[in-house]
Amino acid sequence: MIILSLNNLTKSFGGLVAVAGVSFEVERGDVMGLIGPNGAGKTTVFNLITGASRPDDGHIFFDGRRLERLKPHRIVHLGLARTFQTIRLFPRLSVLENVLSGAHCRMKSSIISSLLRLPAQRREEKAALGRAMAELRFVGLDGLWRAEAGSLSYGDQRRLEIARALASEPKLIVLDEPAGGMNERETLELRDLVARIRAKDITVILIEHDMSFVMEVCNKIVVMENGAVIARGSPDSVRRDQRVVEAYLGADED
Amino acid sequence: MEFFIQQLTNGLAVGGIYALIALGYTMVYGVLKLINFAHGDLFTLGAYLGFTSLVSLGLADQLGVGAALALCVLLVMGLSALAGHVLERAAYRPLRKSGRLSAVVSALGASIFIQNAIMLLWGARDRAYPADLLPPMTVSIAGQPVPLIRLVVFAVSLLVMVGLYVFINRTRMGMAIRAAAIDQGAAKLMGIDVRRVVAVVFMIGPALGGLAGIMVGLSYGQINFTMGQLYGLKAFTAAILGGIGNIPGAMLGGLLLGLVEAFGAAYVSVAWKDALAFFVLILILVVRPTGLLPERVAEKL
Amino acid sequence: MTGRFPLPGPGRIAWAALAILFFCLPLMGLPPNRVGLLNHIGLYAVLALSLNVILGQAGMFHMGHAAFFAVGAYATAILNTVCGWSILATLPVAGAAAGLFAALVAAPIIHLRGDYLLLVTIGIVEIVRIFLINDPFGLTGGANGLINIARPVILGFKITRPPHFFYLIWGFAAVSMLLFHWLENSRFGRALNFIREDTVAAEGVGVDTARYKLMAFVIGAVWAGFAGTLYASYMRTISPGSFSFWESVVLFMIVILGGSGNQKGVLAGAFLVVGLPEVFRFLKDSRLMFFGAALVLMMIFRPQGLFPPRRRTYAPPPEAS
Repeated sequence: MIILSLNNLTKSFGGLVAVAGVSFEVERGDVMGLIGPNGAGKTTVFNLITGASRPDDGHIFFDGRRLERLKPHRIVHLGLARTFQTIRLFPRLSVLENVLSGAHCRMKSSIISSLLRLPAQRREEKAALGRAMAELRFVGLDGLWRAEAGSLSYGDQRRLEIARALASEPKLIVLDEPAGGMNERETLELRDLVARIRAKDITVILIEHDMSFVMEVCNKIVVMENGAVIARGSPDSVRRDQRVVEAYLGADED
Repeated sequence: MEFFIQQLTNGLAVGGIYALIALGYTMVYGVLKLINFAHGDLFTLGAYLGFTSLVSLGLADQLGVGAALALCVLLVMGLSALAGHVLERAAYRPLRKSGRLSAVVSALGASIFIQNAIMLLWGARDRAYPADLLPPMTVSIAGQPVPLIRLVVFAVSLLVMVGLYVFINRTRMGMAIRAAAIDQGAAKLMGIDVRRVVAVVFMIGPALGGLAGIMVGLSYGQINFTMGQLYGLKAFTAAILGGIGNIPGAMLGGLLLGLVEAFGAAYVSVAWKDALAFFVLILILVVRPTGLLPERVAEKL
Repeated sequence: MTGRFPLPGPGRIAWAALAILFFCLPLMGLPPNRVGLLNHIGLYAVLALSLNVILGQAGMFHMGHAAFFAVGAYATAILNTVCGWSILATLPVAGAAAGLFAALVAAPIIHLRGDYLLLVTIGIVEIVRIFLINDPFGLTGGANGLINIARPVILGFKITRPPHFFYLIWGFAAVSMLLFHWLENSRFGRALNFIREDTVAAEGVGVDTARYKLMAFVIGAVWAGFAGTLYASYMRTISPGSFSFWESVVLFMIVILGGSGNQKGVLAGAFLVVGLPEVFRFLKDSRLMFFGAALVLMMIFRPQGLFPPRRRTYAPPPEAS
């Protein structure tokens, strides 16, 4: 079953074409890697999927709905959550509150019931706290729930972003360079974490430069260069693709 | 036709004053991305300094009108520049590393301080520029008698603006200001002393504001310690109108706002004249926050 | 942990004692003019607490709060003097009118960046003031305003003297504080903080930022409208001069000086900004000048305000700890 499909997506910034007619599909249960040299348009594709920017042309279908005209928060509400390439936590708020920000869109209490602290609001608040703690336990940060998010180590901040995204109960999660800035041990733990996310029946798309990570974690890979898809398929087939080899040898040595 | 000529010249004169004040906002904003809330009060300070030098020191009696005015303008521009420099050192420089909100609140505090200091020094009542200083001369335009002072105000503001434009585009300092406005970090790397640029900008702006203060005193006779608030807000509107950070834009915005006000008051309603500027401000920010001129970042400042 | 009802700590007890003492002040023979000053502080406190939702919690630079205050005060004054409504009956209408007005004017401007929003809100205050002066439909009484506004009658008791108003105003302030405290500790309050910290990230994790910003404005405005009702019936006369840009500046300063986002700080700010100038009457005309200087110094040396925002406290479920 296809959960996400991109259809001829195009986006340019002031004459510079960042994404030129990109199409691909993601099946439910996939862990898909989006790779390509710097400037290939990967993050732009992510921004289009998550509603951070709007395509000039083309369509995005997610779970039977069209996304390209929706605001980011609506897309999260539909079950598509993200993390940011440059970590965007709320650094001055606590770890727990950061996770609660993800849970926000699944809570229903109105402003009036919050203002009057009605029983239903208190019950919901308690349940949300429990769920947030569960997500923290899932990524292994439950011991740090009181800490200020900005005080965490780089790797922990990345995991906190994942917990925050998971708290919105997504069907699909989009990770922008999740292993960026992580050391070897943290990367190993992340590999395990992605597997456990997949085991929860959550589809994953990730951008990553660490090739061994991508090849091991993903079951499908899409390769972009200069705003277009140049190859797709299983890790093995992509590794052998002539154009991919050229793109990487030509542009990016690491 | 008679009415039209009167409103047109009136609008251009007021617009020239707005434009002069707007330049101070736009230059500081260009370099620091800060709205200098105290700028309007420096303009008021200029008006009062002009009052003191013309009336209290009696320059006009001793030197004759022409020389007195010239000296007054030089004195006021110099002192206003000094005040701007002190303001920057005291209220803004210590906050360079703090958040935006801190700088905004500090600017507000400085505005309150200057306004009330002026009140303490010169009193809360309106002050009047000498009415007989300039002969009530009129010029005939299309058969209509137009007060000469309006044309002088317009001409002076135009001249100053052209001068500033040349300074910004043709001198080393002007280049440094432009570079700092585009990217402070890069400007620093290229060896530009950004602190000096900021200091200079904080002197040029108030000097022009002070000049505008004298012109208001000469054209309307009355000055008041709170007038900087309204003039300041309107001048800022002018700066936004032309695209903040954009020097020709500030000139254009000022003149446009002056004309809109003059004709609005004439053909719509005098009672709503002051509200008009705010309607324009809100409209422009909601519809086209980059201002009327097309945004060309590289040419800003 | 001391079970379901933990004993209050010494800090809380001290605050409660202070509050009780404060509420006894009018009974202990405080002269009426001093009670009058406390009433003024109370009105500003209610207004500043409502501004705190917008400025402190959501971090939006709103300097037009006097406009919402004016809408509430004029709604009460017009309904009372023209239509003969009782003051109490005008209260919900005043709140609703201010809230509706806020929803209309804030909707197109909430996306504006900090300092631009500040200027636009100043513009709104000025437009409202000029509107009131121009006496539309002969309803607002022009520059002279409206007079002979009635006193509030609660359960047959007519509130007339300053000590009566003391309990009305401060009672209202206390209830507001409690409700806002609850609001702060809910998904709504958190959402406003996410917006304040990073609007893009907040939107990206599923917060409808436009809606919450607007709701912050509406809630704040509704309360400012309520304050308008209290003010109109307390002063019995209102005029456009009471709702100037300057009033908005005072409210803005109360929130910033006290500590934006912290209700205790906002309360302290109200005492400081409204009360201290009265105490320092001997400084006479120069007190505002010192005030301006104090703002600058404050931003340099203690930008977070007297009382920095407090972290919310959470009791996580037992299995977590």
